[in-house]
Amino acid sequence: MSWSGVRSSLELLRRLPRVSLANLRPNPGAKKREKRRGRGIHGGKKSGRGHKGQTQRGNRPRLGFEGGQTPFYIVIPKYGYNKGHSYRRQYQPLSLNRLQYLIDLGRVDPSQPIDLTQLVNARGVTVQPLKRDYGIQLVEEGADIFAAKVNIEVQWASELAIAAVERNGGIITTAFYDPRNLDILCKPVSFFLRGQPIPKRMLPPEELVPYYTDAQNRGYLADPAKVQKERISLAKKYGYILPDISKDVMYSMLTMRKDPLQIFFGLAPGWLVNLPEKKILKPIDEELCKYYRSEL
Amino acid sequence: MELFGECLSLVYPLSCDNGFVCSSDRLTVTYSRSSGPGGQNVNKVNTKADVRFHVATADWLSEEVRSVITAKYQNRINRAGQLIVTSEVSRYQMRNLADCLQKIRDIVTAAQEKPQPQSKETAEMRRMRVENMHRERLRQKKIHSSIKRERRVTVD
Repeated sequence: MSWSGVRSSLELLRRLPRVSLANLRPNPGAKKREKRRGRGIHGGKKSGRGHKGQTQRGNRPRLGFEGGQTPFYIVIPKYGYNKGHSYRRQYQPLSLNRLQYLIDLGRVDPSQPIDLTQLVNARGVTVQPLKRDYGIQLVEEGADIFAAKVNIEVQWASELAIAAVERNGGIITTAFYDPRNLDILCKPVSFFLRGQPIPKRMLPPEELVPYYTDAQNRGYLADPAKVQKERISLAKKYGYILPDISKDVMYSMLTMRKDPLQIFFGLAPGWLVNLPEKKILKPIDEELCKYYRSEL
Repeated sequence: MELFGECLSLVYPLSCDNGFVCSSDRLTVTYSRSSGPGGQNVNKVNTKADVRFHVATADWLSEEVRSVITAKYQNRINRAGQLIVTSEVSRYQMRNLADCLQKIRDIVTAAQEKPQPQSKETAEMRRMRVENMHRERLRQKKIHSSIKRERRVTVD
């Protein structure tokens, strides 16, 4: 801050008259006068309507009319491209390129398990649970350059993406979140401010159960032993050596996994988080505890 | 025109259902730029995978398999005696490498296949078919001959 500039501006304030309507005006070019039609030279005579015909007389047919020829929008037959679109599940793509970019810039911390919450906090993805988004899918773009060891949880992943993550010694899991819980996962703070207990995660619908119980997709409901076998066979298929995670420094972090009913790490369903007072209230009632621990 | 990128001799686990395992550093993998359309990406990124191994010294394969491979894939073996398998099907190096390894597995599996001795029924069926073919051919030939003969005008 230059003291001479401050001094001269204070001097100006002392000398100049008070700001009033008399000495205020808009910047030149800010206010452009509108063209009033029918009031002489350039707004007058034909008033911008052209010469005779339907255009001048204001009688043109509707948009799309082609003079009687079957219009384009009628000629093309209807087909159910978008039929039932509002019932289709959508998954926001997250490329490995973008994930590497976020990690490199320090927006996502690879030394902690990467969750949808972490990605939304880092503004890496935008998920709209109200628009039929059911989470994110890990996309292969950038599989060759991906070089981060992460414990990541997504909702859908292709084989090459799984291979790319595991090649670097990471762990990938696919997990299901129903829309209400997905909203809670994406915006935890606004949920905690509501004062409701954390709900339990629902099981996937019938069509998705085969997907999430399959070890090939690293589903969260799959058998861990089968998952290990699949890791080895995937390494053989793609020709890389599967790094031994058990000898890793970050082994405990990499093997951290959520319970099928859990939404947040470290918080169980049924707990009530009081953010302003920084307290957690846990249910004592037997029935409640039983409810929050059962899957059905 | 491809220019070779990195040249790696790594341990690649390669095995198949028949039970052969190539686990030592026998496969030489090289990556280079692929051909075809694709703009800046195809010009800059090394996605073509090239896998080689020396056939004669591949002790993870049996002698017969080695000889079969040398005989059958002569065109793909270079002067140094290395079998070359390349792949540039996809945009991803990893996928191209997987494709190369699968091709090697297929080659070895096909080389290990023993021709099954023909059953008597099949041999019999084959013989009958060949005989029928010859018989039909000669019948058609006779018909054609008679047509040509009838068209001829004999000057008596």
